[in-house]
Amino acid sequence: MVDRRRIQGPEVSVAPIIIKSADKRTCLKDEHSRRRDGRNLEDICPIFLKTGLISQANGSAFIEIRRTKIACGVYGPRQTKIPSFSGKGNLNVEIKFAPFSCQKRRQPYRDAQEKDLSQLVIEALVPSIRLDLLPKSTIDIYITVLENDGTASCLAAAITCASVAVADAGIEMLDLVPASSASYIGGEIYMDSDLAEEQHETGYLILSYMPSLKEVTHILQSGDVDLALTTQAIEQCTDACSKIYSVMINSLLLPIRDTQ
Amino acid sequence: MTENTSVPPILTLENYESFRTNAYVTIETYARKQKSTLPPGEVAFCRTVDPASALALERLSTKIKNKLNRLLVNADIPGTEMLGRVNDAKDFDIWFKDLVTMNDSLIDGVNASLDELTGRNQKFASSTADIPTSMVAQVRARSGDINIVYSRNITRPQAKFKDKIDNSGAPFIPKLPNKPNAIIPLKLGGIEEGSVYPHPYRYEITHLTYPSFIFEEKEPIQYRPLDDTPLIWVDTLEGLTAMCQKLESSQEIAVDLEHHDYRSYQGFTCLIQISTRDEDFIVDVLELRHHLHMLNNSFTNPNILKVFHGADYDITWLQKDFGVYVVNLFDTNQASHLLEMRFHSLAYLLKHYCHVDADKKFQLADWRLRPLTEEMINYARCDTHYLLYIYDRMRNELIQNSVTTTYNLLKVTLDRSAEISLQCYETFRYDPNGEGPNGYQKLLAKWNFPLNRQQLAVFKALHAWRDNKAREEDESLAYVLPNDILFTLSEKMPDDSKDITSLCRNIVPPLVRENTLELVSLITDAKNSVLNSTSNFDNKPVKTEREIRTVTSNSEPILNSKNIKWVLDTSHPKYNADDYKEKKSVLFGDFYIENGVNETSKKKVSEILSNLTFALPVLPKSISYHSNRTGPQPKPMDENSQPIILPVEHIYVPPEARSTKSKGKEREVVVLSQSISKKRQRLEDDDLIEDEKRLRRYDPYSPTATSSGNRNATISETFEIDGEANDDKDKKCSIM
Repeated sequence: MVDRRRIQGPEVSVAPIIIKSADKRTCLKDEHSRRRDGRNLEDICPIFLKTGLISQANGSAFIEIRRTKIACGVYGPRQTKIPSFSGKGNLNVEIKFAPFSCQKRRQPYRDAQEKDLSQLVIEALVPSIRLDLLPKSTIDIYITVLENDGTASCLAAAITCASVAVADAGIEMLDLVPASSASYIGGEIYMDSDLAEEQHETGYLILSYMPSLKEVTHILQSGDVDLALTTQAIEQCTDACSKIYSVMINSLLLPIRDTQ
Repeated sequence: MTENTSVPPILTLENYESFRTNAYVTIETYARKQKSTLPPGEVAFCRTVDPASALALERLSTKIKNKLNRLLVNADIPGTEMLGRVNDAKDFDIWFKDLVTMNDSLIDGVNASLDELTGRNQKFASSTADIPTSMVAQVRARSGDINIVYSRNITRPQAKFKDKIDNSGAPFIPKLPNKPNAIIPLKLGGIEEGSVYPHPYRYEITHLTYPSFIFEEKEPIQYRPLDDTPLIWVDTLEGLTAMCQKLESSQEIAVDLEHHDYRSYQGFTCLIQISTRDEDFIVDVLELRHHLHMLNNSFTNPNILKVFHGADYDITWLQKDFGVYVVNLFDTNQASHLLEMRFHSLAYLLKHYCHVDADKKFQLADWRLRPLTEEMINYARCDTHYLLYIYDRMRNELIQNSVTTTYNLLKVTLDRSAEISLQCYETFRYDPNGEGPNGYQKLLAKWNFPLNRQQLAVFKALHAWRDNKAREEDESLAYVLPNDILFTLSEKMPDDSKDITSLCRNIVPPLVRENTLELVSLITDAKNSVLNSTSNFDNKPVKTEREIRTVTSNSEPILNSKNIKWVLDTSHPKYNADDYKEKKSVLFGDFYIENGVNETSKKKVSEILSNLTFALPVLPKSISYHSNRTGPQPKPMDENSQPIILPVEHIYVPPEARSTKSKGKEREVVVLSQSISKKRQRLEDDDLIEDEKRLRRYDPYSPTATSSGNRNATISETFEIDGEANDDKDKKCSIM
């Protein structure tokens, strides 16, 4: 059946032929090892993080990292519809990319990548939430990606955003979960890489870390990597997570600070 | 069952049936009711949450407990005095296990008595008085019914073998005492471990000149009808010698073997069937095992053609058991492939060429049985009786379909058959890494269920034990411990003997039953070895090619920091948030400014705070509000004359509308359509009710609060346009 609710693009479309000059390659860093946006290799981007975006939701957060923009709403704890008893609460995450969020228009339907990423977010957050205090309950987290600037950093931002949103909802947690990503490009580690840098990567690492407990909740690595490089990347990511953590706390304390 | 207060009726032979039916009906009714009641985990939950149900459950437990304790007293079964009383839930499990054991022993006793009655008491029968019996069980298979002939009370034939069976896996040395029809003399020496002894007839086979009669297309010699052909049972040395003489004077002979591999580690041949053009022979090789090397005279004669069907295993069995080798072989299985026939089984060939339906009944028979039944003998001879005729027909077809020089199917058949006859029997030692044909790697690959580290350790231990036991006792792996039970034990990792036997369900393998204690200690050791090992990998330091210095902004080491601070210490971050924060949003622009706190967040926080004060009996002095703020005020207690009823659901209540005093704000709420969520309800001012009939008043603290009819099943957006006078910010929209 034809989908009349959305404006579909043409069925068949051919990309225009762009003749690129062969010697013009994207230079990711210059002589001083500064990246195109002026950062060092190990620097993370400034983060804009705000809670309370969605008033219907129990908790919500909005995060902007460079060009990535993600909004997250948390509903819960609410009753699980399934009649069977579960002593622990369920966590349900749905991540959704807006059709305009990526370089190429995405289908509005839920595809395998979204299911995959949802599962990763669940894995990153579950160790931090006190689900055993919420029997027969479900926490629903809906993440909407409004703009996607690099899948790895997008996932990291989504985890961070979701964690803040859960805290905003007042659900008991062991600790907030910041997440950071690193790309392996040319034998070096680029923290928080963007879309252009991602094209050149040979692998990536996404780390979710609870700084107060000094525990890693989730680690995801892809690509062909040297062991020493991985160790270094893990250390850098952990460090970056601590920085992100401070921003998360700051954003949560803001409303309370002002009312008192 | 009647009420527990009245005396149950005396059980007699007459009323037993109705009694039993009643009992079953009662049980079934209650079992069916169970399905619609609480799931098991829920009971504990309800008990915690609701004191009334906790009380009811307590009473029910006591009732059940008393019934259980009286059950055995009333049943008056000898031996039950030893069972302890059930005092609380913990005792129940042990009590139940004991009850089940006692029940089982009672049933066993009944069975034993019944056996005695029918005269089948096995306890007192001596092994020599046992008559080997064979029974036929019908098993439904895909291709119809298969009869499995299994035999009881068969003494082990291996006991009579003159050669000792060596299961250690030492390299196999050919058994033949002499080498008839040799071009190169026999040379038997020692070989090193791990290698295979060369084929004694290697030269003879590779340099074989086939006799010319094989290549001639001749009229196929019809087989003699079955009842017209003499069937000779060979079980004496004289019979064997006579048979060998007849074979040596034949041109072609058809051979087939029957092999037993269940009650033996390496397996042994039970029967050899040989047919010439005129006669059928069946050789009882269990009796004549050490004489059969005589067959080498005819079998290694290059001028006599031996016809097999599917010789791959037969060749190795002949070597293993008797030291018999085959020179000049024709395998009809290979021929059927080269003739591109639809199927390659002997049954198909029999049907195709001889229009004989092979009797599939005895495929899985136990050929150790002596004496063999009439049917089994018949089945055995049919394997070779028609084979020579089939060979004739196939040879003709091969010749017809060939081009002699370039596409010689017959030659290829003979070559392939020769390759098969060159195979050597190999023995294997147990490989701790699981390689090899009996190794665990292959088995693991076939098994779909993933095993964790503990289960894997148990699996390896059990696999090794099984192989060891099988070699020791000279039984097959399947007899010692079938694969499915091996996996069940690896998965469940039982801790004691009872668990092992219960996991084996109906059939506990005899060797498992004998060695349960050994198995238990094996499993426990394997489990503990995994727990004690600290690392997942071998503790070899990984060599990295280069040393890389970690670049971090903070000079402190991150991962080996010793100062673990208090978990909720929010001053813990070593970093200042301002360094990493972005002050302005790209998407929202000036809408979200650093110090502009979202109004809804503020309201939510203050609402939580005010709820806190309300729930506490004494107003805490520490939480106070700036009086100059026109923000939310908590509702003072004395204003409320009604008892406090806390809302059941988490209702969002903007503080403004809660107070009875209207602030006179103009606050317009436009509800485009109702939301399905029960949690959040927009509160409207009293003044608006006259204006907007849809809007209802909701006072959460009144017992007559009407939950409004905002329950239409349409999901939509709700817009709230806030026109507060005291708010000089821009209009805010709540989206989503």
